[in-house]
Amino acid sequence: MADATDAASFGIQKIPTRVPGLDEVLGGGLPEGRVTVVVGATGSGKTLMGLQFLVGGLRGDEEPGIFVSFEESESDIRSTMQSLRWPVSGNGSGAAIHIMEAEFLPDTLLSGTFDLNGLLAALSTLVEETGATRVVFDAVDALLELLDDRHAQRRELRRLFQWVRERNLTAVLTAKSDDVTSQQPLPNQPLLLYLSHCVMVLRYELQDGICSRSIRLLKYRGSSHSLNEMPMTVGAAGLAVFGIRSPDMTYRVFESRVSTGVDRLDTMLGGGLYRGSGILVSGSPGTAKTTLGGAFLDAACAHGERGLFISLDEAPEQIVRNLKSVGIDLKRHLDSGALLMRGYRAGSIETEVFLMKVLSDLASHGATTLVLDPISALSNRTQFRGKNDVGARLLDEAKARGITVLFTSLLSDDASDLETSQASISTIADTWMQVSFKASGGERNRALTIIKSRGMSHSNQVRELVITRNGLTLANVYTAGGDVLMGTARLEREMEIETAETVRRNEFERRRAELELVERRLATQLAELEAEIQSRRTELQTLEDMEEIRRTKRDVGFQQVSDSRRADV
Amino acid sequence: MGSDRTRLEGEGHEARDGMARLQLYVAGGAEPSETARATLFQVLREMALDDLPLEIVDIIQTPERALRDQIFVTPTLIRRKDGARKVLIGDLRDVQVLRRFLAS
Repeated sequence: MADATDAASFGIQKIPTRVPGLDEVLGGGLPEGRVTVVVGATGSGKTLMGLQFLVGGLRGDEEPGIFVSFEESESDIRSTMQSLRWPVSGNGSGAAIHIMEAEFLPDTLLSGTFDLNGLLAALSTLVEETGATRVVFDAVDALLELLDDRHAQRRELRRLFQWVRERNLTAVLTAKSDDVTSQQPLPNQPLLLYLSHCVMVLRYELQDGICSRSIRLLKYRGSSHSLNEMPMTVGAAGLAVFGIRSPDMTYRVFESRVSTGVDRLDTMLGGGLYRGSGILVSGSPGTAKTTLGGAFLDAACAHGERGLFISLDEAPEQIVRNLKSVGIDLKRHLDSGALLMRGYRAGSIETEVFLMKVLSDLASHGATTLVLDPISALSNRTQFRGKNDVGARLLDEAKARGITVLFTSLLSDDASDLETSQASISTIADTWMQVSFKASGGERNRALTIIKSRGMSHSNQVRELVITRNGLTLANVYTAGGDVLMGTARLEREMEIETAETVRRNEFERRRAELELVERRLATQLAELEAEIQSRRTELQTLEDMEEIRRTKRDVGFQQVSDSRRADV
Repeated sequence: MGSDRTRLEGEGHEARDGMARLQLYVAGGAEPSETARATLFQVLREMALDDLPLEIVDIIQTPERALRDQIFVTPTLIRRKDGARKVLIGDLRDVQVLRRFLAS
């Protein structure tokens, strides 16, 4: 029988659940004409999963659905759906979600064994009347538990599974697990695991008082699937599954650059940050990490980008005010709508809910740049480490969307071991800048170093980060004894250099004036000499003219005398 | 069959004279249903309640009755008296439970 089942399953069609992220995990959806079992402890989201599967059918092809509730009243279920703004009926087609209460009255008595023929007959009628293709059995184990005979329980489960198949319905059956704390909760009815075609396990975990939900595909006959546990959230619109992270890493890569908002830092990075890359700015308290984040978004928004600023444990209004004092005006971007700011209390937000909020803001705002300040507020919590590292996941999601991300990360002052304290985020960040205080000469100055920057020729120099009334800049570099001079030492050196410069400039001016004087004097002399030459030339000319006249007069005189004498010569 | 013993139908009918009325929902010839039918007749006789109006509904024949009357398991025995509706599920093999149910 098992062989026949498996062979038949290879040609099975998949029905989309339309639960965000889940169909990717399922490789398309749930097996058509088969039963999928959803296992989980109380509160793990089983009922929601069932309902959302029906809502998905209604929203898709206006498929009618039937929800058989063994534990909750119809009005409770309707109000759940209402609070999530889920439709209970289609648009005009008449398709609807029918809720069938299969709950026994409290004073129902039991004598001996029974079967589910009543339920299946009622359902058959309803399926025929409504044309339903999707059916959910919610908490059917509540009914089966009345059958204390294990054999009878199996018999009735088989009957139910058979009924689903005969009608080619796609069914979800939720089953409780009392294994609340177990990593791998099993249904109280283990037979469900063998009979069903597909098994999903829902789980939640409390750590540091914060709940994180997950989903795992335990079994899917004839379909390849990931065995990894994946994060899940219950948000305002229902369940959403995250982190179908394909083992193949393919992001769209960009050649274009995005400014850091600090011109000289762009120069250090060889022209700015790559679009779609991840930047980590780490540093101890007060090292201007938030200011760097603000400068980045300010520049981005000024260049027509759309920015999202996520602030943890600090109100956005306060950040806007503080940044204004250093010449970074975020309010104009908030007013123009280019910038969206959100503030969350890190201590009271669920990991998955946080992720979902950020991702949905990124999408709805159309953000191209994101600042998360500081990521350490989340990463310091244990459950964010490892597979659930929120920073790594957020960066992954953002990069997949071509969004440039800047994370700030707070290092405690004694965190000397940078490499381990930054865990996974620093590994996947493309650019990692470290801002620290350098104490020397009795003062602390901000020093900025680019620890790494993938695919860029970047400066290896430690630079002093200076906050001015007009924003951030990097100070000029002066080295002394192998150290970059900062603060007063830098100022002293700057003054020293300036003094020397002044001396040199004055000397130059003096020499120039001197030379100019000489030149002027010589020019005057030259002019005098030329005048003299001119006067001599005139004198000479006069002389020559006089001589000419004299000679002419003499020659004429001779002729007259000779003529008068009639002399031959 | 018992259905010819009464014209009562599903919900909505009230006892008119303080007399209890019974409805037994069965699924064709399924074993628990057969057992319930036989047991119920026998106990009614033993308790001298043969004359109680009894309707036997076969939900294989009329599945719409299962939907309308909200029957989830078979067999289900329903007893109405003075507007109250009491439900006993199972094949009635526990006769003591059945006797208390009928006598209440």
